[in-house]
Amino acid sequence: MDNMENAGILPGKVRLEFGIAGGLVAACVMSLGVMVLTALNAVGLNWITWAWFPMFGELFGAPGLTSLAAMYGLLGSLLFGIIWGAIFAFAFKKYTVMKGMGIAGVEFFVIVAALSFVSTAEVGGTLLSLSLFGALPILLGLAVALAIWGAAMGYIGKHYIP
Amino acid sequence: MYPLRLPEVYAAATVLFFVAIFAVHFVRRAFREPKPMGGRAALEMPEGPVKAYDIVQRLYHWSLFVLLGLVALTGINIYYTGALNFLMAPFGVADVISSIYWHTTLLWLLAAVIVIHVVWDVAVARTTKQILPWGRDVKQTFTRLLNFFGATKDYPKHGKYDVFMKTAHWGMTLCIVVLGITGIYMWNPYGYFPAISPDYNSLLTILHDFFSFLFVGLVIGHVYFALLPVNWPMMRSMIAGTVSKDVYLDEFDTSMWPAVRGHKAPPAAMAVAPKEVVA
Repeated sequence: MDNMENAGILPGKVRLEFGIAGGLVAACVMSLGVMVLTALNAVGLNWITWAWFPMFGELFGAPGLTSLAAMYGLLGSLLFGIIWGAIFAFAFKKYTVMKGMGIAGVEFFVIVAALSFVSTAEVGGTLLSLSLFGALPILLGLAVALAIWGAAMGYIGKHYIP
Repeated sequence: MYPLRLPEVYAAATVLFFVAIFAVHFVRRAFREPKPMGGRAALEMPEGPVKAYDIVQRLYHWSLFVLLGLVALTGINIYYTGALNFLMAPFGVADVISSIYWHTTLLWLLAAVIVIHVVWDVAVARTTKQILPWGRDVKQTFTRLLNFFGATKDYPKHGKYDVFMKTAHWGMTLCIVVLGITGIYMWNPYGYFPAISPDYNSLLTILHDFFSFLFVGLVIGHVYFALLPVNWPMMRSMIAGTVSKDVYLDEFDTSMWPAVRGHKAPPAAMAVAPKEVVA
């Protein structure tokens, strides 16, 4: 282990724990970010008109527009954060905010792919069934939320891991 | 005859009381810059960081953050009749009824996480000793209060948790117990409890409201102290799991928080002063 630490390579257990804990914390930060970004609707900036968590819950099989879907969405997004946190932890030797955003970019494409084929009530069908301008606000909202996750994950990796 | 709910002025006063204390603490700390007394602990220990929290402890801390945060937000939304709907919109919560649904449903998850927390810390991690109040905590309370009121320059080192952290932890525990009992009695999900008179219902509601805002005040304190730069190493350890050896030896009483199980560390009074002070 000493040799690995001397070479600047974190042991697997440290990486796994960082991925899990960091991924969860980054998912918490993203959830707070989504709440604040959606709250901007209240001051007239109507840019996220769909509910994040029920939409996410529908991807996990919950019926749309229900509180159950939102519960699934909340637990699903935390779990999603943990899994991608673990992937991030093992994908790089050193961590930076930009690398966190890079992993978030991959997540973005995974979610967009899912939304392209799974019909959700919040989207009003699949992403493919919408026009480009119809899909744009959803893509933008997703991108910003996931960028928050990625930035948080990268920041934690850069500053918090010994 | 009781009022139907805790009057808003009392709710605000409870929270403001805490905010005022933390504001005074912040200003006092900014001007006096107190430091832990005793210098660096004279303790032979291996190189490398010191374990502060294992992965399970970190996971339930952040799970509690999410669950208690949502229960508190929905609770405030119920108390102020939909005032926070705009903040709950991402959860599909658009009215008080949905808030009540979330407020009550999340309790089962919350109860599960609290059970994991208690079982893990008592039976597996065996860290109960660090959070229980001890006789020397009473002595430390007076020393710290003297420091707070300016009678001493520095404050004594503490174990993993100082007396105020312990008080906050047990205060929050008391709040959760009272909130749980009063909440479940009023909610009566399975109809086990007999019907209660309107007066008794009001009393339970007022108790529930008061302890909710007491809890909010304590949580504000928890967040404030976590964000104070002096506590950043401990906040960091709630993500990374460890504190550096330097922080451990400089900031903590190693006899009250032994880093290695079974290791007998010298008490803080025997700790040597930093080199520059000796010189």
